[in-house]
Amino acid sequence: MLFINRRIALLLAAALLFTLPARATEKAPIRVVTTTSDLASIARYIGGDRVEVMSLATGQEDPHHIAAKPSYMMAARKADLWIRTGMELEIGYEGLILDGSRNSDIHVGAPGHLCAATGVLRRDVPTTKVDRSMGDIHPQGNPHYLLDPLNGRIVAKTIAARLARISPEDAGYFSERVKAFRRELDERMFGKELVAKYDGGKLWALVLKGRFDELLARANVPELGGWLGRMKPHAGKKILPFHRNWTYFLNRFELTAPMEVESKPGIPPSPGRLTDVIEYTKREKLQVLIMAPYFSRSAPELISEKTGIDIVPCAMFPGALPGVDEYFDVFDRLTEQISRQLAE
Amino acid sequence: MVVSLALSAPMNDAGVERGVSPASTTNSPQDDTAEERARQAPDLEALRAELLRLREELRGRQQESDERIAALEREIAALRGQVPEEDLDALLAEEGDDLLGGDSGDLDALLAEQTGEGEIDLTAQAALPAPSSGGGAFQNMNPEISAIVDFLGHASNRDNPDFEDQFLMREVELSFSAAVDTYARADIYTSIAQDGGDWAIGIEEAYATFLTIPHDLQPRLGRFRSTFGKANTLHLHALPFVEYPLVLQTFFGADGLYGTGVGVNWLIPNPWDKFFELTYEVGNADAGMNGGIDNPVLPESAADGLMHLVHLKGFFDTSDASTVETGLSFATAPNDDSLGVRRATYGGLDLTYRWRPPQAGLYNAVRWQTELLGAHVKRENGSDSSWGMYSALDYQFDRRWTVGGRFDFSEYPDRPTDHQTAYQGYLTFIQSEFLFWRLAYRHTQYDVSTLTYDDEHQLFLQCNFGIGPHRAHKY
Repeated sequence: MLFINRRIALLLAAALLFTLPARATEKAPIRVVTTTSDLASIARYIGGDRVEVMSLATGQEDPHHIAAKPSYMMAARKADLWIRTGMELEIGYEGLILDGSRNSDIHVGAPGHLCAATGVLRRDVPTTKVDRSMGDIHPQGNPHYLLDPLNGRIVAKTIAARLARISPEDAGYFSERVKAFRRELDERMFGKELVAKYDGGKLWALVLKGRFDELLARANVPELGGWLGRMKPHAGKKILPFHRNWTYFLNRFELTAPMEVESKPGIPPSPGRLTDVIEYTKREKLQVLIMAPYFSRSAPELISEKTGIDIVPCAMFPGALPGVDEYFDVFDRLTEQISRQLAE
Repeated sequence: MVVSLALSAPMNDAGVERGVSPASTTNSPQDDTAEERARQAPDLEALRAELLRLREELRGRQQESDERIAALEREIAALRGQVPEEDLDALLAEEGDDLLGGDSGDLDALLAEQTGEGEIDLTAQAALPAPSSGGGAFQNMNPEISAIVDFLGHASNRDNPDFEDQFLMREVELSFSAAVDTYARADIYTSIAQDGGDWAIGIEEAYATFLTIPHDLQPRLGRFRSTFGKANTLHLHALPFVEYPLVLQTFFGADGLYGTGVGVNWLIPNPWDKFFELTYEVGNADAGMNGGIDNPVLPESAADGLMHLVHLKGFFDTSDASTVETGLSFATAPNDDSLGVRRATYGGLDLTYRWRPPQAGLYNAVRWQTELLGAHVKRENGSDSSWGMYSALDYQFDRRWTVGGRFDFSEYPDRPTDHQTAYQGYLTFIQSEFLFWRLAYRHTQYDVSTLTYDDEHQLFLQCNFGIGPHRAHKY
């Protein structure tokens, strides 16, 4: 009996020896809750193994219409960092979840509350007073800013800075992750050769200064690859979006959309509107209608039937379509789909 | 202003020139001699020179003010960028050269510049629009104010003095919400409704919620809809049907159960991380908007005893698309105007199933909501028990359309031998998030021992609209 007890005691002691130091050095990951899946993907990239990330939206739903489920309050209750898209995208549910979480660490103004829109390039910012007669207008601008890879680049750093504030000892690690993220994003945007020859940041600077094409026209410049390489041959072409949520993507890849299927953002098209859109599509010989998969296909199918335009359901968020799992996949798929359709 | 002046300067120039000579011709139509013209020529020259000088001056001023505006814009943009990025740059220490902010216009110079990680100063971009506040910074401190109007047209086959065949402004709700300070928020809902011939303003809810209490507790105090079951906690405009379930009306009054007092709810920690919330409320038994007049059981004025209420709520995600919410409620309140010796006791069970597929969620959803209520009322001579229930099923079949039906059964807590049974169907058209139409038909059977009541057939047309900020929707 004594022997057995001694053996048990030894085993316990050994187990303790193994577990105690491990516990002392192992730090609990930072628990991050994001409202949308694109933010979750970027936070996972930047945070690596130092974070545990959960997104409320799966990527399949309309991000404006997420319900304030009590189970989201439970997720937010334990969060160290809450990241939102901002610009009123989450206005229909965020307040209830934050208040219901009983977690004052993530309330607005606390270090655990991050609005990712800080410092991003904004588009569609109304210059006049807005009201509801204009449809679903966001007074602070179009909130789908992550559809511009440049904004992804900015948000990556914004998230890293906040993670570093929460866990200062990991600041170096997060900084390295931002570099890796930006390197990968730049290579996917411009192609590896261009980024290898010129720093990715410089290429972006030239794009923003409107002088990127000047660089491409020079001799001995590596061929443009990546997303921009796919889209550049189609620069200036017109496409037809269903809803005004592609502004950032279209601007960055030099496509234009003078008209949307919806007459005003968020207002389903009336029969009269559809007639106008059909006429316009025929007149402009438009080839591509892009839409988020969470919208009904019935109106687009009618337009397609009358005009022959191709409907391209496009993922705006990771998780929206099979195979689109991370932030970069969104652009991989978008540029692949749209360039293929425009080339036909 | 400056811009328009400068732009119109050339036009003025010509205009003035034309204006001067006709003026001179009208003064002396006949004496238009060469001499006269020679005399006027220097004046014209002087005028022209003066105008040119003015134009130059304007141009200079415009340039100056443009530069000043640009400098100020740059400064604002830089400040705007600095505020949130301050600690970011310090921590990551990777601020690159301000490539875009620099003066180098030469492509080679641009490419030769050391950008480090390639920091891009977006604030230097002309394309960057300034965020518009939409209303002015001074409005930031104002509470969110909204107004919701509930309009109802009603027709019935029966004569009902309280509810004639007529149009009814059932309610105009004015609400104010804001953070009080760092620790609390306040929500105030006033209701303006017609009471007899007069308009009366009432406090539907007015409470402060304390948000920073530890141990997952969240107290509130003031006047609020009692956390009894599911439908009772909802405002009129948030109901999926035209009126509150009959059982709530017969047990608590037309507007449901209210309390003025304090409450606290607690998120119960559990190993499965599921949502379990326990609520305790204590307050004056203060049923109905009109101080309990409608309530058949509770006293008109607050009795010498308090109402106590306990509610347990559980919430489960059964799949990506579906959820189940269930609740148990218990309330006890004095049933006499004086001492609070006799009490009325209420119990409730609620169950809500919701289905909304993530991808098609804009167009399709199902909600099935059922509640069972029981009441035990002590009288001077004995006691009465009664019960009631409702079950409602709603199906959203298109982006703007929902169809639903509800079954009601309710005994009367003050007359337990009587009861009513109702069947109704309704069709809702959601014009937008801020306005809906609802057409409903209700067939009610009254089983009342003392009187002979015919079945009632009612038709409702509801239009509900609201203005003000977008409110978060309670799940």
